[in-house]
Amino acid sequence: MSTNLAPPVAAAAPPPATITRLLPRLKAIAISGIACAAALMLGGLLFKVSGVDPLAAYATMLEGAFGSWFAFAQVLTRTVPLLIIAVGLIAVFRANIWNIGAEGQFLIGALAGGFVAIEFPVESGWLSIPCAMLAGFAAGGCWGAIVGWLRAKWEVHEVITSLLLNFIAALVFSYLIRGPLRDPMGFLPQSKDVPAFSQLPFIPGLGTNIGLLVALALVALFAYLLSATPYGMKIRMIGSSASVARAVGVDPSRMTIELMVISGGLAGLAGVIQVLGVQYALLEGLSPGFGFTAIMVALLGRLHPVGALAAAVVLSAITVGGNAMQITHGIPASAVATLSALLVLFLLVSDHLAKRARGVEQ
Amino acid sequence: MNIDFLIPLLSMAFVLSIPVGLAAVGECICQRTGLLNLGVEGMMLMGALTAFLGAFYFDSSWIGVLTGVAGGVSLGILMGVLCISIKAEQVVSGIVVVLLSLGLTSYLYGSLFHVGTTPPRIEGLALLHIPLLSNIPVIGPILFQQTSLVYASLALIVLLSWMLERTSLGLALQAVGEKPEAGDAAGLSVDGLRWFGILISSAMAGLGGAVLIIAQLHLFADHITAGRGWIAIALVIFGRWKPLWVFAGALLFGVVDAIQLKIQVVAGGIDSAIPFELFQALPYVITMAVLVLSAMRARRNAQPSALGIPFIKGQKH
Amino acid sequence: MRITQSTSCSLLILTAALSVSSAHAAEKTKVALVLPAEINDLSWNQRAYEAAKKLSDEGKIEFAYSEAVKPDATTLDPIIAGYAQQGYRLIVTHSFTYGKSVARMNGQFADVNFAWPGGIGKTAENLADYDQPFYQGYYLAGVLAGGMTESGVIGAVTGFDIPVCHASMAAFEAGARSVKPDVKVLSTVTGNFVDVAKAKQAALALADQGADYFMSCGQGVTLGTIEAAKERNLGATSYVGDMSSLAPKNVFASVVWNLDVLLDRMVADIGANSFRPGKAYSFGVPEGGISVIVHPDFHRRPSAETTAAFDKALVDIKSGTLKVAFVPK
Repeated sequence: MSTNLAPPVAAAAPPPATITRLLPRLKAIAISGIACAAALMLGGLLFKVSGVDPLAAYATMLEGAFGSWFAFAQVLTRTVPLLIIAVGLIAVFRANIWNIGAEGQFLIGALAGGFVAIEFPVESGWLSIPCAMLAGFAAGGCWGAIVGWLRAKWEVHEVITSLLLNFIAALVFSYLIRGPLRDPMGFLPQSKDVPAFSQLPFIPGLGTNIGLLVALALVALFAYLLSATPYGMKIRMIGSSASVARAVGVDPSRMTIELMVISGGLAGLAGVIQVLGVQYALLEGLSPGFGFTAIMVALLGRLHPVGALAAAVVLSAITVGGNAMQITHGIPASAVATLSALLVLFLLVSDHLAKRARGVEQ
Repeated sequence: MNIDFLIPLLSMAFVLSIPVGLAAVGECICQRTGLLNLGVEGMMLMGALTAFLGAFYFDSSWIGVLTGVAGGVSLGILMGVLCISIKAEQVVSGIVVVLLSLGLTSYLYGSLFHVGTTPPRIEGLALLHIPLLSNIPVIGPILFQQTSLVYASLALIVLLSWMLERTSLGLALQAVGEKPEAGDAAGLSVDGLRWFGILISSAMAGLGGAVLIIAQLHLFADHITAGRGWIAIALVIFGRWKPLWVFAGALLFGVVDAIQLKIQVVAGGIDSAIPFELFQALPYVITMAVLVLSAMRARRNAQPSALGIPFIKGQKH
Repeated sequence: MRITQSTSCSLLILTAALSVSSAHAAEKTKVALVLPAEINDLSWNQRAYEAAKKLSDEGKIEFAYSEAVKPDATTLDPIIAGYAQQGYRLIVTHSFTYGKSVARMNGQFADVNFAWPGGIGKTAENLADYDQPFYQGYYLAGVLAGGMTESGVIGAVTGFDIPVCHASMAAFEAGARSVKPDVKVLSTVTGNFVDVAKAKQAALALADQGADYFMSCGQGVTLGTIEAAKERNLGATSYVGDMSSLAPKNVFASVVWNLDVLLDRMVADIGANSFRPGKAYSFGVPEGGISVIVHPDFHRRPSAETTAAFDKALVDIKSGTLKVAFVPK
């Protein structure tokens, strides 16, 4: 598993003829390096002001994210929901549909899947887990379909509908866990626990649940689907020009709804995995903003599933490592949050500068 | 519904809608130039903090307004560098600006006012009672008993709307949002006009944050804008990219929010049989409903054609 | 060059500081706080931080904290585990939303002691529960409100309808009724603990319906009601901590959570090996965990009867003759 995640830097020694082609690439890597260094220096300044040695803090951050299997498993666990949501977002974003409602679709999916898993009548994980996942996918997909349908039918802008539906989903979620789904044995606004048979098993020796396998399978599936099949071609087509798409017999309205179902469904699936594999109950604060972070994952990954994989690991490592920094050095949470934002900011800048250096302009 | 019920309600709606309305009108102008500024929430929040700091340290509300605007603009410059100078992806740039602002405002406030010190507070502006006008029944208490900052904000909104719809600068701004290549060919500076858009947007967002603090709350707390910037973005689309309609949308949102707060009390508050989440959801549901209804009747899409697409000279998209 | 010098310098200082503190730490209990929001919130989190700071200044504990920790397991579990692995003997997870994670982590780290504020008596061998009997304090604050309200209408604003808020509101009402039986309570739920502006508007809406005295639940919510009280020159109640300096003329009572008493007991129990099996700690008004501060600068003087009623209720609650009803739902 970990070999997949290693950054693709060192390749075999290149033949001399390609050196000229390699130079811009090296330049690009250098730019990225400089940008990250700049972000780390700025962040370091913050730490210095807080009275903490930046070098020690960064060492803790790295160790906190990659220093042990336990730490790395935490990074992976956080990667899973981000990645699954991002893969769906990549599909819609490529079609030029800006779904920023993944946060709400995640919650609705979690509700449906969680409900199925908690109330499942037969004590069999082989039945309950797939059913819960299907329910979550379907519910998230329906929540997304509202956005797609409104856009396809009346050109209602998806940014506003998906955004407003986030607020509504959060209220639906908080009502249900406070009311009908609340654990009758307790006062607190939380559901009953997911029964043991419905909890996602761990991958042996890895310290994270099988959600990771689902995420990786989805990355592979969508990488293939988006670049090597006619469907991927159609998505790109409605993304660039609806009229061209129509001319070759693609129905942009239908595709819009379909893609929103896929994107919302995957966000919902991520919600189910979070409930069944990590949280084991429905409760307030189920998502620390996965739906928004996943937008960055998709875009920093340049709308490619494999790119998103790298981006999701990096962003998760920043968060997990940042927590370690807070524990060990007493750095305020806000300084850690600022550092993560700076790192993403400079990643973004370096990405674009590097693109220019390579001369690969959109 | 009697008039005694209505007056405080509308007055409240008016107050609730000013900060978000300011940010939304600024965002509207920015989007008309083709630049989608998703960083509004961050800019409002930064404006709120810097307005608070300005007013606190200089002991002057008006200096607070200026520093609030400046705080918003500082993030506007960052957004401009990202989206205009280096042509980075606008959606992700906006989200980064929000994240940065969430972290930075909390960090700055936390470092300046340590735990254990007396929580700082500013005096803010007093309500002005405009002579004669404030005595008009119904309208008087709603419109003419506000702080001077609120009047200045309204004037600014009208001015910006006029600028966008009626002046050659406004036409130029619209042109680069619709057809940047053509505008460029006609000698307009696409980048320059978009810079203008983002600076206006960030200044207005900063001002919105400043109004929230100086005219209403008089104190700062982490994430005090509580999502108003996101609503502002929704309102731009809701108002179909026309500044006055965008502001009208902000008023509508404010009215629905004020109504739900009122009805909730009548319905029994915390012991009501109706879940309070239903009331809370009203502003969002009604905004969506109005949006869908207006979209069903509209014949064309009002969105600027080049919205969200970075302009790179000499290159078609 | 200068950078490297200063870094190595500070590294030296750091190591020196570490060795000094570890030498002292031999008898001190290492306590970790995991907090749901920032330590400067004037309320829930600040009180916990200040309690730990106090015990640390007294030389009883050594402590670290994580603030603004989201309750999802991907964020929370690694933080709890981090403290457990670093040898902290007591981890106080200061939010009821952390319950599920804590219930998992206390099994994984059997040698570490945990405490969480569920208030439902859910304990384990190494897990204590501590409640937040704010309602006892709110009964007292309600007595004052009943005496101070002129309109006879009290406005209550809460962020969410959670048990601690619901019980506080109910007790406040009961307290007010005890001195003014016909008092009316109007309430609003804003759906948000951080939106100060919305809470202020909600409070003003209640004022428009006749309320002249507020109680509130939630930190941002309370800041909003205090601002509303100041704008209309009404009365307000501070939540969990003392926020009266924001509006000395308009905050009459502060219900304050003295977590230092609670924390001191837990640390003492750990020292005496009596922390286990985990107890349900309840530190209300009689135990000194909750107190009510009455602020003298309020814009009106309380009547003698009001003061007497408050003093009597305080004595009765402390002595146990008066049991305030706990109505979480």
